[in-house]
Amino acid sequence: MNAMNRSRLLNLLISLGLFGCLAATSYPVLRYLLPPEQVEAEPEALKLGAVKDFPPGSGRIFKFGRRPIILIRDLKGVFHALSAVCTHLDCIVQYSREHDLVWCACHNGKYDLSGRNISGPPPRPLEPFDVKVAGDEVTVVRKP
Amino acid sequence: MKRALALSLVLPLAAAGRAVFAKDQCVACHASLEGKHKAILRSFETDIHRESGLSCASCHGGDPSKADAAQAMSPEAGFTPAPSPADIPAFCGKCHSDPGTMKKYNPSLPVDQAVKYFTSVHGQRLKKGDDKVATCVSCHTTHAIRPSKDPLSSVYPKNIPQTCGKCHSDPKRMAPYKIPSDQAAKYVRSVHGRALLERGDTAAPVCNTCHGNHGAAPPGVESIGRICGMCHSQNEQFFLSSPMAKPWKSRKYHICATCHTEHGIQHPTPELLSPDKGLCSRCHKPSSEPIRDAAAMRDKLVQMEGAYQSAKSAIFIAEEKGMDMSEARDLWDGSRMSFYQSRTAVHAFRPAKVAEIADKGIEAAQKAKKAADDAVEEFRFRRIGLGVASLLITFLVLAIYLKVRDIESRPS
Amino acid sequence: MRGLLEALLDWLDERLDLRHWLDVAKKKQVPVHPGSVFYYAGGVCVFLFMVQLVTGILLLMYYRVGADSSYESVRYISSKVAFGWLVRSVHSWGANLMIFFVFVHMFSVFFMRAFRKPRELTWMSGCVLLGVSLAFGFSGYLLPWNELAYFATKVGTDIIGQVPLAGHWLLRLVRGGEDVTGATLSRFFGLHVAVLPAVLSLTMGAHLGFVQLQGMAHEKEAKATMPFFPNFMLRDVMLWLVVINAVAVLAVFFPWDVGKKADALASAPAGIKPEWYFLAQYQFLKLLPARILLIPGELWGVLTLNAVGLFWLLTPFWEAALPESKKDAAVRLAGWGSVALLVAMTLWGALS
Repeated sequence: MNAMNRSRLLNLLISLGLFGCLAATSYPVLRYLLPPEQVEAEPEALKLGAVKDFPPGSGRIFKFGRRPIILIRDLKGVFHALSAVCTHLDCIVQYSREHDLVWCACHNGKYDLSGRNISGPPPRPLEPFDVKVAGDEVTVVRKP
Repeated sequence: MKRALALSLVLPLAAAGRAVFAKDQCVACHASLEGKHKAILRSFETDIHRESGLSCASCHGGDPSKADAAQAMSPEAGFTPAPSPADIPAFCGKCHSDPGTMKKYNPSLPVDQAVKYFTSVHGQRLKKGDDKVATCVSCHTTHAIRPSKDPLSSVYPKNIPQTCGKCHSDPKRMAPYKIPSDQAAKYVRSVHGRALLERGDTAAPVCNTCHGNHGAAPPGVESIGRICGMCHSQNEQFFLSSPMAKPWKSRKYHICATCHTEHGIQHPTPELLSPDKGLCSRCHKPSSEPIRDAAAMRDKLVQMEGAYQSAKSAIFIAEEKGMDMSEARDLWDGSRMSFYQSRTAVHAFRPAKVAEIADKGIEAAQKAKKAADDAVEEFRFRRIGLGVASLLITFLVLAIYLKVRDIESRPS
Repeated sequence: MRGLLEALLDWLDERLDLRHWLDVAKKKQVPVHPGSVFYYAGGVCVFLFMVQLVTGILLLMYYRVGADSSYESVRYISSKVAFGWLVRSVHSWGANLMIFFVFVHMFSVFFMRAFRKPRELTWMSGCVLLGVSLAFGFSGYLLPWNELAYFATKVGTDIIGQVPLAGHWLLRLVRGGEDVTGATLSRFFGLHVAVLPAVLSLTMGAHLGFVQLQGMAHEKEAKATMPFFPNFMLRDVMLWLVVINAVAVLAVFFPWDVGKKADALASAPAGIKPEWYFLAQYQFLKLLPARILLIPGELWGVLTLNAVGLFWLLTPFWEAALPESKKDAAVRLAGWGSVALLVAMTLWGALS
C-alpha cells in the first residue's frame, strides 16, 4: 500500500472511530435529556382529584412521593390527610366509617382524625399533612 | 401521667416526710442491725410509699419517736409486725381500699384491688385457709414497691413473667394444685414474649393482660376469643362469622387457643392447614370438604409466601449489585399488607375470601420481583454498554496511534 | 468536502485574518525530552473540565436545589432518568480525576522549574486554578445533600470560625447562617454553577494565553521538538480518550451512592472524613493539640496552611532570590518534601 492510500485509509478509520464514539456519547445524552414518565422528583404537593370523588365518610390510600398517605373525608365533610403507616409495626391503616376514626387492622390500634394514637398498641401519632381545597380540586401538601 | 400527678401532689408531703424520716427511730435502730433488718431500709429507699412521705409507722403502727425497741414496737403503740399471708390484703387495704385515703396521695389510683383479689383463684384459696397462694406482697414485694410504669418495678410488663414465674414456674409449688409450670417458659419463646422481652414492645400482652391484675383467673372458654380479640379483632370477627363458630360454641372449644395454644403462641405457618399434618384433621375426616377447603387456603398462602419471598431475594440480589431498589421495595411493601391480611382471612374458613386478598398480594410481589429483575438486567446492560463503548474508544485510539506513526515515519 | 472547508476558511480569513493564525499555529513546536510526557497533564485538566462542564449542565436539567428537593432530585437522576446514573457518576469521578491531574500538572511544572521568569504569572494563575478546583470540589460535594456531604461540610466549615477577628463573620458568610442549612446549599450551588465556572474560565483563559504567548519553558535547549499540529495534538486526543474510558469504567464499576438524606438532628456517622484531596489538611489539623502557647491549635493550623499556600504561590520569587548553588537543592527539597508530606498525610488520614 502506498503512502497516499495508507493515509486515506487511516483517515477513514479515524472518521469511523470518531463517528462511533460520538454516537456512543450522543445516545445516552439524548436519552437522558428526554424526561422519564414519572416527571416529578418528589412532590411537595399532590393533586388527588375532585371534591366530589370523596364522599363524606370515606378514606383512600395514595402514594405521596414514596410514602403511603390516607386521605379521609369525615362524616362532617372535613378533609384530613395522615401518614398511612401505623407506628406500631408498619401496617397500612384504614378509615373506619363506623367509628369516624383511623383504625389499624393488625392489632386493633386506633387514631383520631388528627393522627393522635388513642387506643391499642401504637406508640406514636401519625404524621399529619395539610389538605387544601381550591375550587373543586383537592391537594395534599407536606406540613411545613 | 398518673405518676407525675402523684408526685406533684406529694412532693411537699415528701419533703416533710424526709425530715421526719431522718428523725425516725425505726430507721435509726434498723440501720444499726444486720441482715434482713438492715436490708429492709435499703430496699425501702426507692419504695413509692417512702417517696409519698410515708414511713414504717404509717403501715406498721408503733411509735417512731421511741428509741427503745420494746416501747417503739409495743401493741399499745399500735404496732403490727409483719402480717401473716391471710392478713395481708386487709393490711394493704387499710389505705388502698379506702377512697378517702387514696385521694390524698393519688386520686386516679383504683381502690378495688382487694375486692377483685378475692374473686381471683389466689383470693378464693386464701379465704379457704391456703397461705401458700400469692398475696399483695408476692407480686409487689414488701418494701421495694414501685409503680408498674417504673422499669425496675416487679410489675413492669417486662418483669411480670419473672414475677408470676416465681411460683408458677416452680413444679414443686404447682404440683399440689395440679397446675402445669411451663407457662412462663413457653411465653418467653412465644411471639408475644419475644415482642415484649426482645423488642421491648410494651404493647405486647403479658400474663396480667389476659389473666387480669388482681382478679387473676384463667380466662373462661367463652372469654378467650374476646381477650385475644382485644388486639386481634379481625381474626375474632372472621372466626365468629365462619361456619366453625356455632359448632365450637356448642362444644365449648376455646376459640384461638385450641389451634394456637395459650402461652407458647408461635407465628402461624400455612402448614397448620395441611390436609395430613395440620390441625384440621384432628376433627375433620380426610378428603371431607373442610379438609379440601383448608388445603385450598394453605396452597394459596404458600403461593403468596413464595411470591413474597422470591421478590425479597430478587431485591436483595439487585441491591448487592448496587442497584437502587427503593421503588421495588415500595411495591414489595404493598404486598406485605396482603400477606398479613390473607393469613387473617383464613379465620373465615372460606377459601374464596383468602384467594381474593392473596391474589392482590401475589400480583404486587410479582411486580416487585420484576422491578428487581429489571434492575439486574440494567446492571448487565451497563457492563455490556461499557464494553461496547470501550471497544469503540480503543478502536479510535488505535486508529489515531497508527496515524501518528504514519505521519512521523514520513520524511518532513 | 474539501472545497467547502476551503471556502469557509477563505470567508473567515477575509474577516479575521484566520490564515495568519493558522500559520502561527502550524509552526508551534513542543520540546521533546525525558520529562515532556508530563506536558499532556495540563491538557487532561482542560479536557476533564470540559467533561465536568457538559455533565454539570446535564445534571442542571434535573437537579433542584433546596433542603427538601436536592437529595430527592439526585436520587431521581440516579434511579429514574435514563443514563442519569452515568451522568452523575461521570461527574463525580471526573471531579476526582481532574483534581488528581491538577496536582500532577502542578508538580511536574514545579520540578521542571517552569515557574521561573518570565513565567511567574503563569505559575500564579495556576495556583489560583488549583484553589478554584478545590473550591469546586468542596462546593459540589454538598449538593447531593446526603449525610456524608452534610457532615463533611459541617466539619470543613467549622475551621473557618477559627480565623481571628473575622472568623465568626466569615463563617456566617460561607454558611449563609450559623449552621449548615438550606441556605448553605443555595450559596454553594450558586458558587458551584455560576461564580466558580466564570472565575475558572477567565483564569484558565489567561493561563493558556500566557502559555501560547511565551511558549514552553525548555524550547530553546531541547534537542528535539515535535510539531503541535498534528503530532502533539493527536497524542493529546489519544490520552483524552483513554481518560474518558477510565472515567466510564469507574462510573460503571464504582457508581456513586445516593446515600442517606442529610438530617441535621442526627449524630455524625462514625469516621466521617472529607474527600481525599482534603485529607492531608484534615489530618494535619487533627494532630494539633488544643492549645499551643495559649493560642488555639486550630488557629495555628489555619495560619500554617495559609502560610504554606502563600509560600507555594510565591515560588518564582523566593527561588529567584536564592544563590545559584542553593537553587537546585531547595527546589528538590521543597518539591519532594511536599509530595512526600501530602502523600503521607493523605494516607494517614485515609487509614485512621
